Amino acid sequence: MGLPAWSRLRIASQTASLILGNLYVRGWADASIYTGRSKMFCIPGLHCYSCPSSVLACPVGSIQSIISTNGFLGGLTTGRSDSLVILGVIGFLLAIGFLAGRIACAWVCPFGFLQEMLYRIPSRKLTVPAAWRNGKYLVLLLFVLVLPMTLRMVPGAGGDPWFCKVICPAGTLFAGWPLVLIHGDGAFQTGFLFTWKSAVLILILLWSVGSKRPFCRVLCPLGAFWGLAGKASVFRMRVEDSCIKCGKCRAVCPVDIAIFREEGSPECIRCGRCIPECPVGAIRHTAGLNGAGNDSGE
Amino acid sequence: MNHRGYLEWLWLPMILLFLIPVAIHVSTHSSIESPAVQGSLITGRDGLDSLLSEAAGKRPVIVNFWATWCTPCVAELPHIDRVHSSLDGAVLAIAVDIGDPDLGSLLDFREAVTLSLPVVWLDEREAAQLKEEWGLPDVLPVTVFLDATGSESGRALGARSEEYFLETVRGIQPPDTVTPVSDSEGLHIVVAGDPSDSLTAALLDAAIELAGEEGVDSFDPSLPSDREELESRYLPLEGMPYAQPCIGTSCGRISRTVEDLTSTVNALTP
Repeated sequence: MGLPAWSRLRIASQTASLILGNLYVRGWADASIYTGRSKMFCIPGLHCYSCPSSVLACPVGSIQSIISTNGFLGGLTTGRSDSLVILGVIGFLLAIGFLAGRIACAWVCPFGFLQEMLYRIPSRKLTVPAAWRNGKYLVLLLFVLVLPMTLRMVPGAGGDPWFCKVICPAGTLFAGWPLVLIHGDGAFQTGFLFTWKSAVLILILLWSVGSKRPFCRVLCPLGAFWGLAGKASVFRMRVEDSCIKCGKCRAVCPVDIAIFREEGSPECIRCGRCIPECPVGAIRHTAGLNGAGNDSGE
Repeated sequence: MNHRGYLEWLWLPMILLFLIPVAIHVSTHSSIESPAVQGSLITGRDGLDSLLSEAAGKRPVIVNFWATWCTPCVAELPHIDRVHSSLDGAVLAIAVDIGDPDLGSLLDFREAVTLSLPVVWLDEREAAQLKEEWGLPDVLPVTVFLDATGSESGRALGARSEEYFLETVRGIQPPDTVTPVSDSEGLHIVVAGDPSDSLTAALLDAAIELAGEEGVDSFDPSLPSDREELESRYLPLEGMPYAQPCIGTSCGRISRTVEDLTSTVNALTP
């Protein structure tokens, strides 16, 4: 295959992340969930805590789980440890975001990797309107922050992780479906939510065949978070004045952006795929505050 | 706006569509969350033993030890109740109140909260005897899991989620015996009492010494807002002054002397 070295390296990184994040292979045989110490740490990507082989937690799931506890805000102000742990998760995500924006989407996230593989299937390809990218900010605000923190079905009890419950296709694929397949749906009382989430997953997988990483661009709250932090990131893409605006960068971009039009875009996942594609070598990585650092290209 | 303009805005209804399952889930779950019929209230050790022997050999049992003043316990109970009611008799959950010497506290609680699972109340003597027999720590909530044969398969300290209980009774994850927090870092103490009272002051000093100023909340019962806050936490408005230490989702018993508070905190932070 004619894949550039950079792309091969990225596929190797995504594959390695998938393997390293799923070292508890016994979980599939035992049909159990790993609950060891490594679950205190988050994988920089969307990967369900409840996946039988997962040895790391999901940052989006962790955030919802922490902020949905009863008295979270009070605990934060009084320094309760189960509330303060949110600072660790947010700090971890911000560190990645300020360093290199959505870089983990390109190099680590297993669900992003899956969508990229699906897009390789020959089919009619569809573009996604640029305005749809706003969707993920609303998902972050509504389903990850506001609803888990405020919606209480029982006074005095905690809230629910609504993004996980009604949207997350990674959770359905890596945890919901495998656990139901192993245990049977009787054990899990698969009801309306399971059916809904299965439909969401199937639609997203089908959409991924026709469009580039649609979930990452339209729905992913982690991408929204890193995209916002990435506006001020140290490591980013830079386009020189020598750019001839031929559009070859957009053609190969996994998130379908024309970097010459959107330099510093919160959508850019720093995959570097556009660098070797540029016929005039106008696209480079740059590292430094406000993007005015040392350049490095291929 | 032409059709292209509408297409640009399609993302908004697409995201809002996800509110439909939220609304459906909340409306259908609320009926389970707030059962119309209050579960039975059983008093005394004999009642608990007969419930356990009835289930032995037939179905697993979740025995949850709690008290009305234990805020994490109160938050946890609806989760256990949902597991109890949603599994349609496949699992029995029992809430055993071992921290309210006065039955009136539990009766008041049941005026406000409806639970479908059976609730057992034990007086001080029976509670102490049961704690010794079962080897229960001075921390609430504690949940003991019994398998279908009636043997203990594990226990959990501190409040847990509905998912945790579901996964544990289905054997997806083993019940752990790990204390959620085992150091004094997250120690938080509520002190309730008249600030001019010397015993309140002594409890407050001891609490600050144990948990630091930031780890202590003090409530003056003469202030309506403080009484309201105590009520919302189901903490007693009688028998003040007292102090209640909690770490994360585990709470120690209500302590009315400095010595008692110190030993309760020691039990919380082994």
